[in-house]
Amino acid sequence: MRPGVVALALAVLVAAPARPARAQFSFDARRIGMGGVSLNRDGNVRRFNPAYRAVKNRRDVGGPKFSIPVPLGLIKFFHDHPIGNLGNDPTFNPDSAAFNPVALMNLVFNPPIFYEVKKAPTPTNDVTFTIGRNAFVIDLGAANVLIPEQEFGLGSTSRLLDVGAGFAGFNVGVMGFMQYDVGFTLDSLLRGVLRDADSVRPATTYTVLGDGVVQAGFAPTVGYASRVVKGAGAGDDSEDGLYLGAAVHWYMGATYGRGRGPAGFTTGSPVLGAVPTALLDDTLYTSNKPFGQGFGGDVGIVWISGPFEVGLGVNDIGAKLTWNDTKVQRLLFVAVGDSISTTLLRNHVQSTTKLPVTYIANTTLRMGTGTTVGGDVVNSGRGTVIHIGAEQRMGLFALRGGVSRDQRKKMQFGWGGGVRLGPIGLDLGFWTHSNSFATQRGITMATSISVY
Amino acid sequence: MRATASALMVVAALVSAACGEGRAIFNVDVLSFIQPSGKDTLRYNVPTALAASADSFITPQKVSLPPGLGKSSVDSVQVTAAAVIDNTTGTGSIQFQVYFSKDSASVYTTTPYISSNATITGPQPSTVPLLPPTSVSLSDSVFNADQLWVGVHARVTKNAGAALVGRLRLTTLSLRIVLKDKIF
Repeated sequence: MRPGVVALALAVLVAAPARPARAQFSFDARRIGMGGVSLNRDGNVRRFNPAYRAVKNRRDVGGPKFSIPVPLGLIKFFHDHPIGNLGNDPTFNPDSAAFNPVALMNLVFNPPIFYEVKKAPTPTNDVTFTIGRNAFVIDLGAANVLIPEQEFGLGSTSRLLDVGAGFAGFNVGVMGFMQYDVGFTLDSLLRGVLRDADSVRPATTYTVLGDGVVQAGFAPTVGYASRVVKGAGAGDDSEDGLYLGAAVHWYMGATYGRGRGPAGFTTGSPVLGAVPTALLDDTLYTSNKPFGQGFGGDVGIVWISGPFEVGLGVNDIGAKLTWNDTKVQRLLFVAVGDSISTTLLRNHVQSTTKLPVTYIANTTLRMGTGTTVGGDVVNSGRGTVIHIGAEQRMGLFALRGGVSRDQRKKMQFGWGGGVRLGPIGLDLGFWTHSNSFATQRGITMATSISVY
Repeated sequence: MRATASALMVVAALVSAACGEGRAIFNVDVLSFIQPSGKDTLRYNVPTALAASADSFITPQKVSLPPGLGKSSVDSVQVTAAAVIDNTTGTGSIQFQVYFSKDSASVYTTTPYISSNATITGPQPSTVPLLPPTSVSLSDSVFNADQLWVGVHARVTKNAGAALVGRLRLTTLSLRIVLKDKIF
């Protein structure tokens, strides 16, 4: 069991780039110091807004060519958890008296890439269980705020690959995509038990409804982007004007799987005097063959006027994939033998999936005297995130600050600074986050080197 | 019971202090497990006119506890008990004892966890409260288990005279088990 847990934990840590991408939103300390906003035409705006294909990158106005993260958090992590001793490390060893599942989950949700200046404290209040023949009450105390009232889960749409070539505003290429979304919803009775310390009732069913989908593939793409209106009085080298962009994707799904259904249990009567019945009754859809197909598109618009810039990009509009060869199975828990039976409900049937519509709206204002402010609103498939930030350059130095509203609708704060020495810059950014199983925020310190 | 408690406690443990420095406290209403079978009442009847003694026992009753307790070390336990004697005729005294054990066979071979005495005097019928120490602090491996057996014993000692007839009725029997370490 021990090696399995270690392997699983490490695999999750290594294979969870989507989560840190959303949690830490960037490996660039400059962005982290501005609450997540990017004042350059990189990252999210180019990924979400096809009109930016026609707009010059802003390296020439202060942006670096690229940034290299300095993962101080990993240094500390491997100092605290020597790689040769991971098999015996209490963090990954459920058999250890010091094993703490909350700490492990916090590690998964908040990978230690950067240095954690302030760790979110694990709640440590007493938990009281009241047990009677026909009563079972769990009082989590202050920790009950951690019980989600609505659906909770993970999800994102990623474009793992985007290559192509173009001329005269046209672009032809191939995009690789992956979308996953896993959500869980506690039913009201179970939520009442865990959150409101209601007693477990006899002969009552308590469930968690799970709904998960993952799909991946590639999409040949044809796009066009151009400046359709040139700014009044703008010179030939001016960026001012109105830009439009659009792209059509022919989605060719490689594989997909979807599972949906409840898991839980039905209590006996009386509650503690009879054996409850476990419940699992899920439907699983899987593609037998690749090439689920469909069409969809992206559109974008950018307007630049001197120091002011605003853009809007929307992706995967109408992206519905049809899978012509799908297997539908039912997974059912069978009390006799404590086993799960798999029943083939339908085979070689057609099914469909959708890619969620994602978008970004962004704006930037260069105010002169080295001051730049900006903001964006991003939805990458599961909730909207808002970033607002500013940078003040003073010769070699830069000061940065910003705020954001994360996917859990909590306000987060970023601040930091940097120094640039010729082609090299060293940046430092601090960021508050709520990625842990805790009621209080943690603070991460990001460090990165920028190459100009 | 196991599945119910396990499922709920796993969720609880993930968000609770059971994994941090907080304590997990289990308040167990033992009486609720005994009452439905009527074992919360011990009847006595010593008809002889001479002074005599008699013993009454309940069949050991099982109390199901959350499975996590079986893997834990118990920090402290408190037992709270109270009983009432409803005496119909006669005078004498009653000794009331409560036993706990990990298995049913050894319930009455162990030392009682709580014990109390009461005297029945004066006009009859009468109701006599039988109040052992409100709580007894224990630190015992008996409670480091996911099931527990409880027994109640009454030793009735009759004075010379009218038959001693009545019943002993449990009114409170509860446990407070405190775990300070992990429960999984």
